[in-house]
Amino acid sequence: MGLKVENVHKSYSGKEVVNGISFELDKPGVFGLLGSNGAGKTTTIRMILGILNKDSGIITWNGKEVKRENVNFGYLPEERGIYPKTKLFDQLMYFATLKGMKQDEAKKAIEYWCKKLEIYDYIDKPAEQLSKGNQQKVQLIIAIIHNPELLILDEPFSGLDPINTQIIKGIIEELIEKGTYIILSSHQMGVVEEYCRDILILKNGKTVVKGNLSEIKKSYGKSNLLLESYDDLSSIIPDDVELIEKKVNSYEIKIKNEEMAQDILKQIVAKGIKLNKFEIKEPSLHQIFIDKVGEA
Amino acid sequence: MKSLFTIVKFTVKEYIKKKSFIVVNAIMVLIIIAICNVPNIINAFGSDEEDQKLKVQIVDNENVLNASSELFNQIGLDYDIEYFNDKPLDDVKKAISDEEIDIAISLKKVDNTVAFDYIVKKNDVFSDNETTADIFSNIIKNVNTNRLLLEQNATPELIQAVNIPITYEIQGLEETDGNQNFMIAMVSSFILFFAVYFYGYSVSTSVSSEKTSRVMENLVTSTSPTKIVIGKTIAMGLVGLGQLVGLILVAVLSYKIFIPSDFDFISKILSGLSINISDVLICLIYFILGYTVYAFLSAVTGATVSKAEDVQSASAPISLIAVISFYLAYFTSTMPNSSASKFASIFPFSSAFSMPGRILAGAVTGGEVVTSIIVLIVTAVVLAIISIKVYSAATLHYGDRLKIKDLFKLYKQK
Repeated sequence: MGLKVENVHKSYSGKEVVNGISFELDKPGVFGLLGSNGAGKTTTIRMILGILNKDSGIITWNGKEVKRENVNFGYLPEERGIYPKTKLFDQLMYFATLKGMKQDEAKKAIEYWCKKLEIYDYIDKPAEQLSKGNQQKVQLIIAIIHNPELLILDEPFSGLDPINTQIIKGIIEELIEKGTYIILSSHQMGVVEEYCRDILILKNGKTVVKGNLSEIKKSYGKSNLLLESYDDLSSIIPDDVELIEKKVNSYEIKIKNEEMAQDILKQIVAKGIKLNKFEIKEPSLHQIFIDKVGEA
Repeated sequence: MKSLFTIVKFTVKEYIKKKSFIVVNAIMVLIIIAICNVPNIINAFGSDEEDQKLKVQIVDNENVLNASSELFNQIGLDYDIEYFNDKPLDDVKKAISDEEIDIAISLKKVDNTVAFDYIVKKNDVFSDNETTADIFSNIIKNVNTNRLLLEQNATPELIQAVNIPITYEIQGLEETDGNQNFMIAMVSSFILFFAVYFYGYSVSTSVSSEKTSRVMENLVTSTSPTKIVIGKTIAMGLVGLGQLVGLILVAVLSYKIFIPSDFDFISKILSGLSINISDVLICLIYFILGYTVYAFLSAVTGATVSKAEDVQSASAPISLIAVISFYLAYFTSTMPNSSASKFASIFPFSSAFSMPGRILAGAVTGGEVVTSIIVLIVTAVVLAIISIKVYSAATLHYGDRLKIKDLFKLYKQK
């Protein structure tokens, strides 16, 4: 049961923007829909929501065709949009009623979520007087106010400060606990790694990676070596090695095998360099994404 | 149905709360009240003039009439007349030059009949000296007649009978209703054009503002595009109708309160017409249907643009259709029985502007009304179906304004 997307195609003016995409959300949790800009994520989301017709393929929710009447869904679009001149309460009430909620029920939900997201003080203010981050929270409330079974979050963290990011992460955790099916589209790989059980990476409308995130990472093997030290490490990094990431006090490099890591360790010991961290690890999602999609 | 009502309620509330709407209505109310007060303003100035009646001195040094100031003032009520038998003409002329008096009349006898010199400060093309001189010619003639009758020992009854003004009534042999109806047809064409076009355009701006503020994506995922388009159309129609009814009420009330009972210009216009409830209902039907046709077209226009400033250029084709249709209706209203006028009453884009006036003028048959309403309904339904389909695809398009061929593509894709 849940959401099933099978071999979906969509073209614009002869150009295929979604090419045979298939995936399944068979249990509650977060599914990561990833891809570079223009890869076909938003088109896929719009087809799932039924606001854009697909050329071919099947999209079902609990075995039924996805339609507004069949699915209780919520959507946080990538482009933020609220009525600038309308009071916060009025527009939340408008969307809640449009989504079929009764006035009393909507009023309680508005109060609950506004307090939870720390914007209750602005309830009687026009939206244009709110900060960008707070406007984003309003959008999130619009998406979740009616307790959707299926929630699509398109870049929910863009433009948020760390405190607000933390608040929204808390909301996502609450929704996961409630048993919501969530599709998360984001370029923040750290967050995707944190919450997504399964992922799908799109490139030019085609699926390049799909499946359980841990298994995808395992399939790459422990191919990365992370070294952390306050001493200078540059002399022991081989010239022909692929550099994954370089920070002030650390290097992450791609290794061919474990023996290569052991050789580097021996050199470090020989040179008397004091290490803070030596870790042979799986590649990060960020690295997998760059590998598969190309230049970031 | 519930969400349709929600959209209507929200759109109406948002629109009537706008500062521009409040200011425009306040200005319209002030203009209506000001127009209704024009007769009072005229009267106010008029009464000032009355207080300062023209000062006239009649010099009768030859004693032609042997009258008195009282006698002249009894007949020449609108003037302040002084009668002299022995005043040097130069003194009177000086009084005119010094603007102490306005007119001097010097009586004389020419060939045994009464004649007079009419003396004023200036006699140019803009003055109404001839009219006033004619009036005084009549006043002097009356005084002279009275004098002659008295000389012939006429009884006071006879003198009174001679002085009774003769009443008259103007009768035109040809019907004059056409002129009155022509005015009504033009006025109704203009009001309907303004209302239909303006509120249709408001649907367009309402849709485009939702695209500009990117609310659209939230909206189309919260309810169906069909309900959004129909809800907005109903909402703006209600605002338009409400505003129209409100302003008409203000006009009627202002007319009753401010227009003096002796200022019967409008009642003269309306006297030749018999407007009944069914005429008003038919006008209402034409407003609703005409508005619906233009509102659906405008909804598509609003959906094709991404920026508010593009609405006007995107609306250009609709404006062109509306203006051509309006002029078609306007010019054919002068000849309500011509075939051009009949075409304007059936053609769905102009019938709302043309037909109500023709109905009020009594120049249409029931069959024509029914045909025209059916054509309008069918057009409205077809446009609704097309616009909802195009709207739901175009609303999610951002970037360059969509051209007509792009709309066809979107229509096919949906």
